[in-house]
Amino acid sequence: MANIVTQEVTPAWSGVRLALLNERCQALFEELTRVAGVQGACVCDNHGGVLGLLLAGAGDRRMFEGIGLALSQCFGALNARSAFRDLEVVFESKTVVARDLGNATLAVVCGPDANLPLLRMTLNVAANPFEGDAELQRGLQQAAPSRANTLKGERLDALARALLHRAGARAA
Amino acid sequence: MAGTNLSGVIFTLSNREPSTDVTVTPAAWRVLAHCDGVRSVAEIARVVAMDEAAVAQVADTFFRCGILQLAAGSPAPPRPPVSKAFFDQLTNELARAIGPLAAFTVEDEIAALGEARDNFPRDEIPALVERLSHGIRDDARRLGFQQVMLEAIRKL
Repeated sequence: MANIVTQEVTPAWSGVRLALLNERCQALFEELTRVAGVQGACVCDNHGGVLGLLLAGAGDRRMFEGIGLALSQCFGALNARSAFRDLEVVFESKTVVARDLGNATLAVVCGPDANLPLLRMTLNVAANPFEGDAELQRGLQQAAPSRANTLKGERLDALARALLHRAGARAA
Repeated sequence: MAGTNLSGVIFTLSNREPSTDVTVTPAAWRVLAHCDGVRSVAEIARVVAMDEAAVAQVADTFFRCGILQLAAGSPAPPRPPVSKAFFDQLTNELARAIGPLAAFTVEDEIAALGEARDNFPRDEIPALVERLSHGIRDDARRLGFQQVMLEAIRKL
């Protein structure tokens, strides 16, 4: 059964701001549980920190922390060259669908039985309240201002640095 | 899927939340307990000494509400076609967004997917709706179209 893990109280997240974040994440994850083949998802801030988790058969917090950081780095690096908001990474038996949520990133892990057009459409509809919530976006930006933070040298491995260099984006 | 041949299809318990409340009758429980990711619908019918059509009906019901999923390596179930009423709704909703050429656009996109309206498979509907969405330039209308059609797809 799916398990939704929401953000706990931290210095950056508390009170009304935390309640709003958790409400939006909860609504997003509940919609994702209605799509067959979705095995998990996470919402990360601009620094790659996990803000919410949907565990539905694949992975744990540690796995999603890795996915969240890598995808935040991808969006940070690639958005410096051209604006885009969707990323799909296809592995042998899993697909990761990522969506830029403004000042957050959503990553969805799904199995081979997932209907990707249905998932993308669900994301379009379910992510809209999250993306369009100005108060939430302000809170996200205050908590983790920029994805450039994820492109700092110490957070990149040699391959990532080489790719960034070839792509023309500079690691901070 | 109901009414179609599920003989060789293999189901297993799903790890998803059921999409609705479900009542499990004693007969249905006998079927559910044997959906182990190994036995096919035909084999389960033999094991529980029930009519294969009745077992298929139970499996189909649980599959639709998310309690069962296809087991790895299972043959895909037959793809049920989509009703005329759904296409009428699709065309009407698209017409709200792009105008009177909607009917032609729907036909073009069905053909582009290599399918025919009379035998259009249900699992291809999201792909069709997504393709049609690309033709809606206004962001709000595109989102509205997808929202309505997503609900319609869930009711199929």
